[in-house]
Amino acid sequence: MEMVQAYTAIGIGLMVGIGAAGACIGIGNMCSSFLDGAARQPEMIPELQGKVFLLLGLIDASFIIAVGVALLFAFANPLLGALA
Amino acid sequence: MNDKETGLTAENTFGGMLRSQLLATVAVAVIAFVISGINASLSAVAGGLSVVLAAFIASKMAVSKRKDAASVLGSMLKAELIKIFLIILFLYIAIKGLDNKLVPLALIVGLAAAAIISGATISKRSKQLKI
Repeated sequence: MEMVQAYTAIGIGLMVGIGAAGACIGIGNMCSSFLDGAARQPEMIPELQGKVFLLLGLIDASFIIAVGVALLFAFANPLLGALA
Repeated sequence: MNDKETGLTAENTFGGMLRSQLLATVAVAVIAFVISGINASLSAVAGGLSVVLAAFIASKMAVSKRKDAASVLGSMLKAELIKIFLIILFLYIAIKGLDNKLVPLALIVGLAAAAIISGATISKRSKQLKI
């Protein structure tokens, strides 16, 4: 039981940590491209605003899913239920 | 061609995104109900609504009054941060609230569908612009 909890905790850390790192790299790339585009064509900023928000959501989707799975394992671990 | 001419304002884009997410959540909930019953359906709705509600609140905060690139980007990133915190909060409430009735797979599928489907909106908007 303790081993399952310990390995689950490590898994949760990896899920959230690697997911956050990937999302940060993606968001950094997109934000630099947005600033680049805005500097070249400032009149496009209002239109790009909506697209940037959509893409932020899309880039974050994998991280959000990882957080959801991690929360599930943290608060309602199905592996412990199988053991019990 | 600016955003007033095309109708592609930030508010329209956010509205389209939220509609797509709600549709995806309802679709997953109906499929979960057919396959596994009411508990799976409730779990899928809880997972999907966590994302939709957080995205709705964040979209209200994302629109910047100032029009320079740095403040637009700053308000976007702030809205995204709040969105993630709200999703974690809503998911915690859903997982604790549903407790024994929770169907994990349905919750994750509802969450994933709502989170990923927002990307479909951008292709729809691009088709309107014909780019």
